[in-house]
Amino acid sequence: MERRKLCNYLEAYLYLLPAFVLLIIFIYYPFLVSVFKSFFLTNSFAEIREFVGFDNYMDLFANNSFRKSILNTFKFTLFSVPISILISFFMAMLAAKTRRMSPLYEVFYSIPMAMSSSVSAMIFKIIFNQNVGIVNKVLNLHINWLDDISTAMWVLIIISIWMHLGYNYLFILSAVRGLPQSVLESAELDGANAFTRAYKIILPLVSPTVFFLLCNSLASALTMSNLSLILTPQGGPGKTTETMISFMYKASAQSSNYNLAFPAAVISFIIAVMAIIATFAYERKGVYYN
Amino acid sequence: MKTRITRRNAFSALFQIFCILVGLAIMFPLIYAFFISFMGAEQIFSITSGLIPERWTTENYVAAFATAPFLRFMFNSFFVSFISSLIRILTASLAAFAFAFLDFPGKKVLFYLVIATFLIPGDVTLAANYRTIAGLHLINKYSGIMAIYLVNGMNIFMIRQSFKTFSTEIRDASYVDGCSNFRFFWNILLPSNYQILITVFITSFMGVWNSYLWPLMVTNKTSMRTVQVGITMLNFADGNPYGPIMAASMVVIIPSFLIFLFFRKQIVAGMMAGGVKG
Repeated sequence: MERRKLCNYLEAYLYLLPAFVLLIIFIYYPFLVSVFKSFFLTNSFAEIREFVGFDNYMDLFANNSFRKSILNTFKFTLFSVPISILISFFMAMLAAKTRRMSPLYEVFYSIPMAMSSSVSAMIFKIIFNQNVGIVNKVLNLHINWLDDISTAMWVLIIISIWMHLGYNYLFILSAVRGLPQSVLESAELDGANAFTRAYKIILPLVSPTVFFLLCNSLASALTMSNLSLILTPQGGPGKTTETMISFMYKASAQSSNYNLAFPAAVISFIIAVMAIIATFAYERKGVYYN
Repeated sequence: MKTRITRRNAFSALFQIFCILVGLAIMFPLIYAFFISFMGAEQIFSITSGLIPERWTTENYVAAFATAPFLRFMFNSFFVSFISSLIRILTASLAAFAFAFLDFPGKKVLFYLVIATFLIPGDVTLAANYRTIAGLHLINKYSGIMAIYLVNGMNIFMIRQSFKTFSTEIRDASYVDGCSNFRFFWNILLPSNYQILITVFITSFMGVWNSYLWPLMVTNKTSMRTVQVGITMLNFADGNPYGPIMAASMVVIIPSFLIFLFFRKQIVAGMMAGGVKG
């Protein structure tokens, strides 16, 4: 009997084995090794040379472009996340009631979801191009948007807002459609105050979904690097578009300086986790559950 | 009474036109890219040019395909996304089976370890993962690109949730019939949970297809680049990169578009069950 039980246990572990081997090699090990090695001097193969305590962190925070990258990442997150969710909310309100043309515009609204950051970046690069871009043509300006200290980050923020519209919209739409019919009717979009009513009545009711989106978007916005690396490979004018992860990428794969890459990874992790935990703390106060 | 109804209809029609206009505004970057991709160079560079091509031409597409091995990029992306998503379903559903149906010491702790991976953003481990892959000499290899996509904690969680709703009566009956765990898993459980498996596969495929930073790190040979990386590295000597780059973009988004349009239901179901993650 005992033997049979043991066999059963072994069988269960066998099912878990492939997943856990991979989880350990590619998630837990790299995470722990980044934390551990961040306290050591390492060579260009990331092999340990000497214990230095917090020296790497001191160097990291003395590094001008990393300090800037933290602020840039915060700015990016602070604007791109809430604005995208807010616009998506109004899109969901427009689409809430199914009408004859619904199938058409519902696809239109969700389509940014199918876009990758590379392609979105390439398209917006032309939209904001100094010579041929439609923004300068329409506004009759001659601004080099991606090469101007005051505008470069805003271009990245706009792209990110656009890219997340589809995903956020689909989530909020399904939450709105799950509300009781009577609530929806009382907030029907037909009066002058439609937007305020939607904002006051519907938004609190779908706040759990909005909260989920907020958590999700915070983590991804705080670790954003793609748009920065594709559109501004050098970190942008005056390093205004360098982000924490784009900095980490350059320190690791590009210049093999793991004395900076590992502590940068750890700091990014701490900031991302703190943001998520802070959102959870806020949840108790701000979110309305029925 | 009648006028009220017609007024309502008129309002509804106007409202729907408004909704479509908003939709076109959201799609504008795509429409713009589409027009540019068919536009002659002279119009792209003209200051007064309109949005719609005056002369429809495919020369941008010809230039794009002549400059870079686009079909190779597409194949690389497809191969990597397809195989890694397949393996991911397998690793995830095996683990999910153990968590949903089997008893063993440490079950709770191991499950928390799966949940804890939600808190570690994939990007912060990239530097260390890059060292692992470089140390294994897997740079510029398909296996190197795929390595980090073969398992996903969220997918284990999603599939386990789906397995949990499976009727225990059918399970008990199959055991009475002398069905082994594995046969139950393979012949009964997986086929009857095909919907969540499709959802996981599709979301995983799109996630890997669209990923950028990791494939960029672990490849440096042109022939091993994925589309997402390849498209950002196009170089055009003749001074008109814009048309060909938009043409290339149009080609690159076709697969994810088709998948999105055909599997919208599954994708949305997957999002609701745990979010689309790369």
